[in-house]
Amino acid sequence: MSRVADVFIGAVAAGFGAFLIIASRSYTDLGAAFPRAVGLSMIVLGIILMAARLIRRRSSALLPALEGSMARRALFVVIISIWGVSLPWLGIVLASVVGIAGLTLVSNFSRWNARRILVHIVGHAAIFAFFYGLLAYGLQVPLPGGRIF
Amino acid sequence: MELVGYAAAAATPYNLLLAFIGVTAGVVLGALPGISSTFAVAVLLPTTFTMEPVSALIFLGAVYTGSTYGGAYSAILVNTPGTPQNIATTFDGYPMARRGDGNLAITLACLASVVGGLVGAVALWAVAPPLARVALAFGPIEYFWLAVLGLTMIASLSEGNLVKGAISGCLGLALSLVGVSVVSGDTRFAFSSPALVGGINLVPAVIGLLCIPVLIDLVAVPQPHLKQEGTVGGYRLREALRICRRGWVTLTRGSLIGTGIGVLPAAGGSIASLVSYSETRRASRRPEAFGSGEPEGVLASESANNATVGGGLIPTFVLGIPGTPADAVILGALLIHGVRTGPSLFTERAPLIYTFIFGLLIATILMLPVGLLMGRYAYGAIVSVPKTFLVPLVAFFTIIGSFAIHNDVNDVVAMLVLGLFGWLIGRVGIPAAPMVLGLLLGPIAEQGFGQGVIIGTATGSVWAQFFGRPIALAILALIVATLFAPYLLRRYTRRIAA
Amino acid sequence: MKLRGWLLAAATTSFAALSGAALGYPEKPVVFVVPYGPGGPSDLGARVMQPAFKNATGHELVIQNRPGAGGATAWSQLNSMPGDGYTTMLTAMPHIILQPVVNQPSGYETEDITIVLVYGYLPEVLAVPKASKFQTVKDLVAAAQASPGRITIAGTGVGGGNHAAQALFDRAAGVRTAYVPFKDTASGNAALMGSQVDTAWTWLSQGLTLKDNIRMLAVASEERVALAPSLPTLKELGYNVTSGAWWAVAVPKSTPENLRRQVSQSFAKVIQDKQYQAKMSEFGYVTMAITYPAVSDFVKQKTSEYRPIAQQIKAKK
Repeated sequence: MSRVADVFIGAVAAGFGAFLIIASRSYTDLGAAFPRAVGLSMIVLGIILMAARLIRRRSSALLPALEGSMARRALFVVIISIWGVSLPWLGIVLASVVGIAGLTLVSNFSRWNARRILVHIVGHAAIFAFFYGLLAYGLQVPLPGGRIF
Repeated sequence: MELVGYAAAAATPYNLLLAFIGVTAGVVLGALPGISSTFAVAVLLPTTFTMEPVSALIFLGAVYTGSTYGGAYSAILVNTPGTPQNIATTFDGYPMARRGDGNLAITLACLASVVGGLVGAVALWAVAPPLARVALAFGPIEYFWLAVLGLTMIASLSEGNLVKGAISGCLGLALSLVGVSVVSGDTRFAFSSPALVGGINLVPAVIGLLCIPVLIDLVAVPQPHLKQEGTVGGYRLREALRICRRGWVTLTRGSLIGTGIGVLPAAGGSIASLVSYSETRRASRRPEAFGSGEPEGVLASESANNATVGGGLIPTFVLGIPGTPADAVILGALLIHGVRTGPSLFTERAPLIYTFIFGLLIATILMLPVGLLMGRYAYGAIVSVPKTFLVPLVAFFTIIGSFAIHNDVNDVVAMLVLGLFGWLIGRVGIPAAPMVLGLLLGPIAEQGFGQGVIIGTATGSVWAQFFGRPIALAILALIVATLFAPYLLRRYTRRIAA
Repeated sequence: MKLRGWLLAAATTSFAALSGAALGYPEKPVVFVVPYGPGGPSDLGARVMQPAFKNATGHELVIQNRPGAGGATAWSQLNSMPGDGYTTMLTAMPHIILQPVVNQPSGYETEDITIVLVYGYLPEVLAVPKASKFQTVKDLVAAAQASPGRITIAGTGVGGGNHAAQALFDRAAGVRTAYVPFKDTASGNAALMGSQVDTAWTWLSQGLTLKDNIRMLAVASEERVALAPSLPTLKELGYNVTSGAWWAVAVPKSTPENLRRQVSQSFAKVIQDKQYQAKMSEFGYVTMAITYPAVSDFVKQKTSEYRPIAQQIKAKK
């Protein structure tokens, strides 16, 4: 980890701690005790982190470098976010179709052919139907229905 | 001779079938992230209305104990605790699975769960009334110190950089402050958003912080999710039994801690397994191995959480106060069946209670074959299924699991935001596990503190409350030991070496 | 006598309602959102209602637990749910009257909640540990007068029914006690049984089930309760305090008028179930049915009763 990054983290932590303390001004004494204690701890920890890097000029243990594709990571985050956030509008079935299809593509590293596509469509449909049935009918988990459809 | 009668009553084909169905259903439901033990028991409660009280209890007890073990599957295989009781199982279970020892970890979890479950059930049988009295001696101050003891674990979860681990723990504590405060009634850090008034829920936060980072890194590379050595099918039972024999102290300690903490009404299985994990690590001769796939870590966590099943039923039966959230539902079942709780339950309703305890023992033993067999399939499925199936399916469960716990889309959003945040802080060397710890223990610490201050102010001395009670002082001594033991141990070994 | 009046009125309205009930509702399972976790007193009542609902309507009553902020999480989301008659929510008074005043911002106002049926009442009781030196309310009041602010009294949360009872009682008895809020009924009761606090405000159902370890001093209902006939009411002891929790069924604001009536009448029919009533009265609950639209007057009356107390709790905070 680079020194600059650690100094930055320390500053952010200390800043967040200060925010906790400032935000707790409007609370009752009892309600403000913990925010103040946590805020103060974060300020102290942030300063220690910054001081250690600035004075001792040593960086903390190195993290393994990121392997693989950043684009796939970003796409994953985008697709799962769409999946989760669209639930109230699309409903569980449609949102999951979008999500499962998207994540299948993102996590795929082999060449597609007709057979593989068919296996995936049938497989995903069967797995989804099973768990949907278990949750919605077996356990009566009220799954989100759509607003649009 | 009465006991034989109770055992026979518990072992009728009907009750055996119920115990079997209960354990199997429990394992499956527990393995699904977001389906907690409480949820599993509550959702199956209406099916027991028409049963005899003892059969209803055996069934619900079997579901509870099965789900507490089943949660270990997802904890070990995808770093997502199936129920909150399995949080500590992820610490070493997932690293074990990563290096190809997932089947071993699942077998160990099964053996540990059976041992813990048996110890808890025997405690329920033998020492319920005296243990229940201990539970009553636990006041707000004791809960406060117990939560602080749990927080000292941050040190052991910090993988190298203590300061960053502590920052993560503080972030978790800060998250636990969001929403209406129990002791002061202030609405804190809600930014006028109704979604935040209720606070950040534990289950979605844990799923997000622990599972989403795994998925994010999983899609980036073509390598399989878990390393695989040799054949997939093996139980590695012989190896697991050897580890258990060597780790009998860990199993015993975990079972006793689980029983003891299960008895405490405001603690529960997640804290029991965390405390057991932390105590095991402290006592270990190789504490540095914990967190990177130490089998004893799985033994510690899984023996403790299943021991809370029997332990938690102690105050439920003796006092009418549920020991864990799932026990609240079981208590409801008792009330619905017109069974009055109290110490008299063990005398006046002895046939009911002892038959049930035998039933619970049977269900716990059934967990061995059922758990091993299902664990084998769960492991086989996760190892052999291609990523293009695994990723969408696990993602589906992160979403549905977060949603199902409170039927709230806001929880899904919280899960996703915390998931991305967990990945980001991981990239700058801040571990996510201490954050989970802070979120879990923050409310217990704060409520105990606030109640202690109110009571202390009323009775004239806050100091006497916090430092003048024997149990509180004993926990305080443990905290000091946990914090300074590694340091003292290092000095001691250095002196020996010199 | 007010309660009996309400019950009578309720009985007549619900009879009238039943005979005129429109057919065709419900046609599918009805969701009943419980704003607390599984296993609590409210959740338990709802789960006992499940088989009765099935018997009366032929459809399932699906319970959704949506706990958080003492119920406020669910109540603040009520009006964003579909008003199709198949989404209903358990509501508790005086909680929905106290919270918007005491816990600002709580995300909703009392007037946002559309109650279509009040179906149950659970009285509150003043209880002490079994070993307590307080044998009567008089002992307790004497001790509280001798050392103001020294008597600790447990209850669930800030701005809930227990807190209101504590404020009402302090005012009626002219004493000052220290209120200690707990996260749920069970942990407050555990603290009471372990003598961590001197006394507690809790529910009659708890007082009855925990009677091996706690002693009820008085009940805050209008009349003595059948399950504990020797237990005096605060009123007869000279403290003008009646308090408890009233359970109600609420629907989203967008639910049309005719559906509101149908929901109200269906649930009113459900709670006539013999087994349901037997179970509930065993727990200490009073089954009642105040149907829509008469129920609005009841809600208004409770609101005007409890709002001053809410203001008082807020001022002391």
